[in-house]
Amino acid sequence: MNSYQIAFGIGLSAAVLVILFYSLWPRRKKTNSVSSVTTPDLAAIAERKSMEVFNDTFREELRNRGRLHFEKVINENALFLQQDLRLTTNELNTFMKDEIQKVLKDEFSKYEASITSARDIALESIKKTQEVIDQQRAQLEKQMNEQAAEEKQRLIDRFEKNMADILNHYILDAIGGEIDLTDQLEYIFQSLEENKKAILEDVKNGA
Amino acid sequence: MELKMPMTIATKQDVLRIQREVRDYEVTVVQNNVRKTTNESPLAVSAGLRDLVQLNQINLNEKNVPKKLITQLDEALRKVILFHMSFATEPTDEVTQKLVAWFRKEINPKILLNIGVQPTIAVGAVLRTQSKQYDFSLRKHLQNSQQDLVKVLRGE
Repeated sequence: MNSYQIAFGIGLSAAVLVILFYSLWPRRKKTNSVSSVTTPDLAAIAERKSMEVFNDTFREELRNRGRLHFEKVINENALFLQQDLRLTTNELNTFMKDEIQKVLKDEFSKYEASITSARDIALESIKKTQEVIDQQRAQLEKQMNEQAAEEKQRLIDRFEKNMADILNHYILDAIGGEIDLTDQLEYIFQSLEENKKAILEDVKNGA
Repeated sequence: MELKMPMTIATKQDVLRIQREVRDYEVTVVQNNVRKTTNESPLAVSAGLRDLVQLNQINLNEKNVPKKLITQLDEALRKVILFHMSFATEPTDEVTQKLVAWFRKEINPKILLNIGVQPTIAVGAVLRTQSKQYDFSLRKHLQNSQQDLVKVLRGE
């Protein structure tokens, strides 16, 4: 409860108290001439008696009572105000807490969603990049394997194609210095015998 | 009458060399007659010429016989069948004579050889006749056996 509310409560209590005093304060009644003629003493007596009843002591008593009542009202109002203030403060705290939590929750949700989205995008990008790298690697591996196979086959083909020359070259290197035609005569005569018919035919045609 | 070629005359070069030798022999005989030199011992001749005159029963000391022999050798050179054989190394006379003997016996008596050297042959020989070539070298043998070699290499 703020100071304005407290001041308002105090002012309200004071107004009530003034009205109470005003209503209870003794007033001089207006009498007509007939009655004053007829009952002049009664009015005086009544006034005197009332003055006796509402003497200073009684007034002081009323004043004290009013003061006590006023203090009581003030205390009660202050208590109520304090309770209201505490309740309002609690409600306000709860409201603020809820609002802040709600706002923070929303913001965190948005932030989390944003982070999640960014993470998903990054993961997707990484995944695509990885896929592209894997594809390129697979393609490169395939090309290299094909080229290696082609090169291997080419070498094998070349070796098989030129195998006779290669073997002849190695044999020539190995036995080049130890060639003896005498040892080869048997092989040469065997070859001549195998081709004898063709040679005869050739000589016959040439002649 | 055609000349019979001994085995010691195996190549065209041998024939040409015998011709030169016969000319020299004739000149020597003429010189001896001019000088009145009496040489009891016969003139030294090569084995080829010796075998030639023995095989054909020719007396070179008779007049005009050397000229006639040279003419006959020219005639023989025109009629000869020339085969060319290449080897990895220069063959010996013995190898050459064996080959010529086989050719003259199995193919034709008029055959002469022209010997060549081709180191890449390594083993065997290459024969070139008048219109064909016969490769008896190891390279050709390996080429003919290439399929078998490939099968062996592949473990088939």
